[in-house]
Amino acid sequence: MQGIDELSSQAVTWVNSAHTWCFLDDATYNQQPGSNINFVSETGALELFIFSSAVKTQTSDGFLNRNKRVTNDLSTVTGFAPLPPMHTLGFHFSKYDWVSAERIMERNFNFTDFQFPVDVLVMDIQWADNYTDPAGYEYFRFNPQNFTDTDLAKMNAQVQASGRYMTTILDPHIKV
Amino acid sequence: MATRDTLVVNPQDTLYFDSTMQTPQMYNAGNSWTSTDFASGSEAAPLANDVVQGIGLGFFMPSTTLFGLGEREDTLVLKRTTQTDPYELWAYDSPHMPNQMAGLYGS
Repeated sequence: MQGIDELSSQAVTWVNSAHTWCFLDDATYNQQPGSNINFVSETGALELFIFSSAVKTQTSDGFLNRNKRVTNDLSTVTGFAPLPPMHTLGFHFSKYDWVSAERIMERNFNFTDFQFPVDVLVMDIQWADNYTDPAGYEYFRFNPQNFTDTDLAKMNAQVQASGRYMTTILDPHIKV
Repeated sequence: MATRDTLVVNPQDTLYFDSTMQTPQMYNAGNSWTSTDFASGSEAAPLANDVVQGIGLGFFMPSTTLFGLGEREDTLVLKRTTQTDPYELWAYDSPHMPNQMAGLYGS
């Protein structure tokens, strides 16, 4: 949560992955108008970072960019966001459907054949193995019925040769 | 120049920690729950392995322009939630709809 006003920029990073609510209200503190921000989390530890640019500083070439400074400090904690790879900005084909190496190769061929400008082929969770144990998807290996080792190698070679990329969807659980 | 508060932690005394608030069973039963309940606590006795421990804390910023809380289809500058439901950080398994304060699918 980041705030910016005429004099400074401020930020609070609430480190909690649980179900969280954030309440924002008008407020005045020591006669200064501003905002009250209340975080409430369902569980977890109380862990947070606060940042501030203090007051703006006049430099020879103008005012220091207070917002940039706070964002920069924040990134030293959360990591600097990488630029996205070019292909992620292109068109993606994504469908929640049964999938196999053969089907990917067929789509890949057809998109080239019909000159569809697709850059990414997305496989939904059925790419993963739930045949060995139908209780859930195992995300660390391809489902062996639809993706044999031979087909995987062919699929990878064909998709790579077409200049496209593949991506696989994961749901947030782990099964081994 | 007058002194100026840049960021105040816990200005309204809303620091809460509650290990007896609610069990997941109660939560799943559809009991409504608000920030006010959070302060008052709940009558329920915690279960040995299933305690939901709530935490909360407030801040004051001398800004009315706030942003952050990403991965939602809403305006960049965040709205006041005084008259509405609060912003929620939760990945809903629901279709993408425009102008929603809730988190996006997969966020």
